[in-house]
Formats: sequence, C-alpha cells, structure tokens
Amino acid sequence: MAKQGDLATASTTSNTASNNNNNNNNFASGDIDLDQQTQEQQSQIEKEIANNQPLISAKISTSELRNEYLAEDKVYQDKVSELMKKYKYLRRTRGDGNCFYRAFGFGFLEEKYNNKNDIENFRQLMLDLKSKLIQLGYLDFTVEDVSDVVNELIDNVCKGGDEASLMESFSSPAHSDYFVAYLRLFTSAYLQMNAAFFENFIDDGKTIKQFCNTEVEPMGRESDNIHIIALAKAAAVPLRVVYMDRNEQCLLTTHDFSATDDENRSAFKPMITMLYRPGHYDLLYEN
Amino acid sequence: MALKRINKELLELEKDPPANCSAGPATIMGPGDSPFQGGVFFLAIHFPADYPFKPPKITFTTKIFHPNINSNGAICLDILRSQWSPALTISKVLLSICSLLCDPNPDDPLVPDIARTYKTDKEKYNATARQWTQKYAM
Repeated sequence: MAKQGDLATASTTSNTASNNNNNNNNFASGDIDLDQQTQEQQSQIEKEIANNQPLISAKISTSELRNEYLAEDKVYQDKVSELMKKYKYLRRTRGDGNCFYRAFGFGFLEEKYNNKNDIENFRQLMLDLKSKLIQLGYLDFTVEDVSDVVNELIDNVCKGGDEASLMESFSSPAHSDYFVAYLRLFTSAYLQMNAAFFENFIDDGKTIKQFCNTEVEPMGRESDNIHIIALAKAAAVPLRVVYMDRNEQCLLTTHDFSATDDENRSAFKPMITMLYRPGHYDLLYEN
Repeated sequence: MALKRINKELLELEKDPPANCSAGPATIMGPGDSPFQGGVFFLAIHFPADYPFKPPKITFTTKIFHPNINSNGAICLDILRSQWSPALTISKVLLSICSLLCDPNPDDPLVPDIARTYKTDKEKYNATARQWTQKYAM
C-alpha cells in the first residue's frame, strides 16, 4: 500500500519534503549527499552575491572603475580613461546572470517614465506579446502572472515619477525579477516569431524553441548577441554596447543594435547605453 | 504575488491534470509502458519563497527504483534545476516526470548503480523496478 504523500503546500521555506518511507539501504550512500550538497553550495553562492551586490546601484562616477583594476594594469586603466572621456556615470547591476535584462528594463523606464505615449505603446506591446506567446503554446496564466506585476511596477514608477521610485521598484526582487522574466519572454517570443532568420546563428543543433527554453527563458542565463539583437528589435529600443576587454588591439569597441531592420547607421542614436565587460553588463550615461 | 500564481496552478492542475497524474495529493500512476505500471507514486511539492523564479521542489515520497531518482525521492530532471523558467508550471513538470519514468536518462544518473544495471542488464532493471513497484506503490 502506498503511503499518502504530503499535500501540495505553499511554504515559504525551502526545506525539502519530509520522507517517511525511505529507510532503505539499497543505494550507494554517496549519491544522496553529493546531489544535495551541490544544490546547497549553489544557493550559498547566490546568497553571497545577493548580500554583496544590490540589484541596481545609484549612478556612480565612471572613474570608480579605476579601483577595480590594478594601477599597473595598463590595458584596463587606459580603457577606463578612454571611457571617462565620453561617459561620466555608470550604474551597476547585480552579477546574477540577469544583468543584461535588468539593465535594459531599468534603462528603458528611466528614459520613458515621463512619456505617457511611449509608456502606453509599451503596454500595447505587452498585450501583443501575450497573444503571441499563447499562439506559441504558452499558458495564459503564466504570461499574465508576469505581465500583471510588470504593469504594477510601471504604474508605481509613473506615479512616483522620479528616479527614487524607479530605484525602489528595481531594488525589490519581487518586482525587479518579474521585469527580467518579462523581458526574457519578450526576447523568446521575438526569436520564435523570427525563427527562420535567427536559426542561422544557433550552432549546437538546437531548434529556436529549444534554444529559447534553455538559454533565454530560465532566470540567470547570460545573454549573448543573439538575445540583444532580438530584444532591441522586439522592444524597438536602439541600444549601444561599449565593450571593454583585455584586447590590446584597440581601446574600446562599440556595437550598435538597431531598433528596426532598416535603420540608418550613421544617424544611430541610442536610447540605452551599456558597458560590457566579459560576462557582465552595466548601464552607462554621458551625463 | 506568488500565492496567486500558485493557486492558479493548483486549480489548473485539478481541472485539467496531465495523463497519469492527479493533484491533491499529487500522484503519478506508473505509465503503462514502464515497469512502474500499476503503481501509484506519491509526490511532495514545495514552493520556495521566490517561486516562480526558483523551481518548485518536487520529491517522490513513495520509493521507486529509477536511475534519476534517489532514496530521498530527489529527482534529477533538467527543468527542476537549471532549465526551470517562470513560464513552466507544476503540470508541465509532472508530465516530464512521467516521461522520465518511461525513458530514464542513465547518462546523467543520480543513482549510478541503478544506471549501470539499466545500461548493462535491462531485464534485471525491469524486474527490480517491477518488484519495488509491487512492494511500495501498490
């Protein structure tokens, strides 16, 4: 006779289920602990990052980047000097694999919260996205769950109408993470709707759908060029990324991601600018 | 917010459970084309505080002989770990667990001994799995 398991319960702890019926000794003992230990270690690392880095920081002077590199590290010190010529400020994001989306969401609202029209357009994009995702086989309530909170966040930011309310919304994981999840769905839907084009950029034999399920939608998955191209177009946001790495051939490299397919390159004007250092995105400001 | 979503999911699960599954208490019927046929397997579902950004914790509370499920009932399934996304639901996870019962993944085992048996002596694997099903899940 099977024992009755626990009912599905909504608990606020992450304790694993109590097991009443596993006093067996038929297993190799090593496997249990190793699995659990790996998961515990991973959550420990996540906690440490969360304790040390805010989800989003206040604007700080780009000169502060100097402190991150050794004084004698000429490659990076020269690049920081070059960066400072054009960009006065930087806003850091937490290095949790969601930095690109979080920076994008913050940068977008920071630019738009005073512009009623653009905010309404964005809400319309959200509605369109919902029907697209449902067409693609997603469950309506999972999409609604995410878009409801994003709408609430936008309401709060527009009502507050200042940087402080934006900071407040993006510093609260409950709101901030929903925005990230939303932008991930947005990116995923755009990739899937334009599969014929994007397929050419996926080289490990995955279909676009598989790529989206494994590399776009899960939280904490880092972003590559393909994600950036898709999100810039999906949200119609011209985006500039300044690359800073150990490459000694040049000082800084700039990549522009256009909002449409036929944008005039020479007239490119970014709405959001990000600084990319291997594995991480932060926001950049000229003023 | 998470509570609202969890309620919706449970409601959905009750209204339209995936084949071989049922909600409250969560169970999976051993699929017909597997050595678990005829067994009723109970599961514990716990939602972490940061659900749906973190996956639900789902464990078997009924003992089962399977390369990807250990003696604690822990399940090694990609969408319960790194491949979880907020677009997924309990219902989809249960469906994947059912597939895992039919098609174990011995190359990424949680219990290496069972994986070895599965790969080298399928008959013995099927016999033991059937035996355990009779003993613990019927």
